[in-house]
Amino acid sequence: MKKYTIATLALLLGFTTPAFAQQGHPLAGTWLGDWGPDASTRHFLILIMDWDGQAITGSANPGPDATPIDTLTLDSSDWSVNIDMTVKDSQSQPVHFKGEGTINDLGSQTRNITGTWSDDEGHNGSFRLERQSGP
Amino acid sequence: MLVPASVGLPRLLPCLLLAALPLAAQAHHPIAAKFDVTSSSTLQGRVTAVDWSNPHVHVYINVTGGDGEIVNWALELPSRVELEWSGWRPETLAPGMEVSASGPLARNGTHQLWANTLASGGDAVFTLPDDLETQRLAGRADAPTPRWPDGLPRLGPAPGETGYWTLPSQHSLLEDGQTVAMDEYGLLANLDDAAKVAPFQGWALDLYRFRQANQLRDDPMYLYCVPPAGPRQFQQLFGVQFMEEKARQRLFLLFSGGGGNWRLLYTDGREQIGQISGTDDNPLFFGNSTAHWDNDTLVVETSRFNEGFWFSNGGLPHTKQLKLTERFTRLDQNTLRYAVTVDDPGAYTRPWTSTWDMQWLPGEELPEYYCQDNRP
Repeated sequence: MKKYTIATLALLLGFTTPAFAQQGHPLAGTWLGDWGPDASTRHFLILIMDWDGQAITGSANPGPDATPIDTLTLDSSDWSVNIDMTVKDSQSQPVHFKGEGTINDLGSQTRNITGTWSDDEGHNGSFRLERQSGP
Repeated sequence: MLVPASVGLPRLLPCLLLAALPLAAQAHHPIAAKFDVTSSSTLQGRVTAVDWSNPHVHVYINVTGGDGEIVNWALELPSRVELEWSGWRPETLAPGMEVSASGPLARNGTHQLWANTLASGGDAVFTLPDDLETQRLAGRADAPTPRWPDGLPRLGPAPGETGYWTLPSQHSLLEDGQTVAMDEYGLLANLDDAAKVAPFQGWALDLYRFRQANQLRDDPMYLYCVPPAGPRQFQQLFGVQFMEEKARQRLFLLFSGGGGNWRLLYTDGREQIGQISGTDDNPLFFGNSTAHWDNDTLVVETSRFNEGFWFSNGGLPHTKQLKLTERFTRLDQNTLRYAVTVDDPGAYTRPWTSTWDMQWLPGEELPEYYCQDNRP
């Protein structure tokens, strides 16, 4: 089931990812990665983010498990990112994900965000997202 | 022999001291993006090959180190176009010639040197005058703005003529009324001037500063052959040509440099109907334009840009909310004024305008200078 979901998401992504790199707002675009409590337990994650000139908005995991991102902020003085959202883990259990990360390799077409997350239950771990670039 | 400039100059060959002349810093990529321009070294060796190509000519030489080991180095020089403008030919340098070259080394430690000077045997063999562009404009006749029979200005060459627009007076977007020193790549002389360049939003200023501090190394035009779209079309050394089709009420803008790109403008108010993917959901490098004449000025309004390119030298960011209003006015035979108003509430706090002039270079066609020729 998980493989099917990922395949569906990947297919969907193929239709929604612009066929060019993104040189505008550093967070805008589609980001692909994972999160989890340790290296052996990871949950697939897609974030689609946009910038309207005043606020960053976005959603997580497009498809049947899609959820809006509640809060997204970027501090461009150090390119730190805060993400507050509810996502479903690999067992489709909702998790209140509070992430703090940093954009790495800012100038690259495939820049990435790495950081840590925690939830309301005291769980925590790491996450990593990579900006997807077209051909 | 590789000689750090600080210790090696006294030991340079006399012929180098006599003959070496500075080369202009024109190139396909910002020199500082690849080479550490804060230092200079000198190489002496024998030419093994000459690659007479755009975007940069390369001369390969064998350099004998202190331990007797021979290492092949690549000397990088300006474009074939620029060298030929100044009288150079592919056979000017030949395998077997002994040369000395000075300039910055590649940042990544590979055996590459940007040749600010190159000399051989007591005679200067590589010179590219700093005022090459000015020299090329010498002898132009002053004349009023050429016009079509309907009275509108001609933006392209008259029948029987050749020529194109080049030598922009400004190499990056800069808000009118500001004075900021920058080089031909839009690299600021002083990074503290960044906020003067445009009314940036906070993130856009920080991104612009990052790109500047990074020596414009991530510029997708150089790295990936991405079109120099938006106002950047008119900041390129190798020029712009207008092809006016009066009968069809349209004109084509052709660009040298980039990927040999072109742009279509209808002058009767039509949008580019039939443009595949020209929607808000799938925007374009060159956007969608409408054009009309306002007395002697061609006014072009464009929106629906994508975010896949840098719309100016120097790395000013833009977003998909970008709308441009461009005004082209041929002031006289030799001068085209370009004024662009940038309205991008995604990256800037208010609309702003930047204006510069381009020069008519008669008697020549657009040079062939395509980024597809690019090589590492």
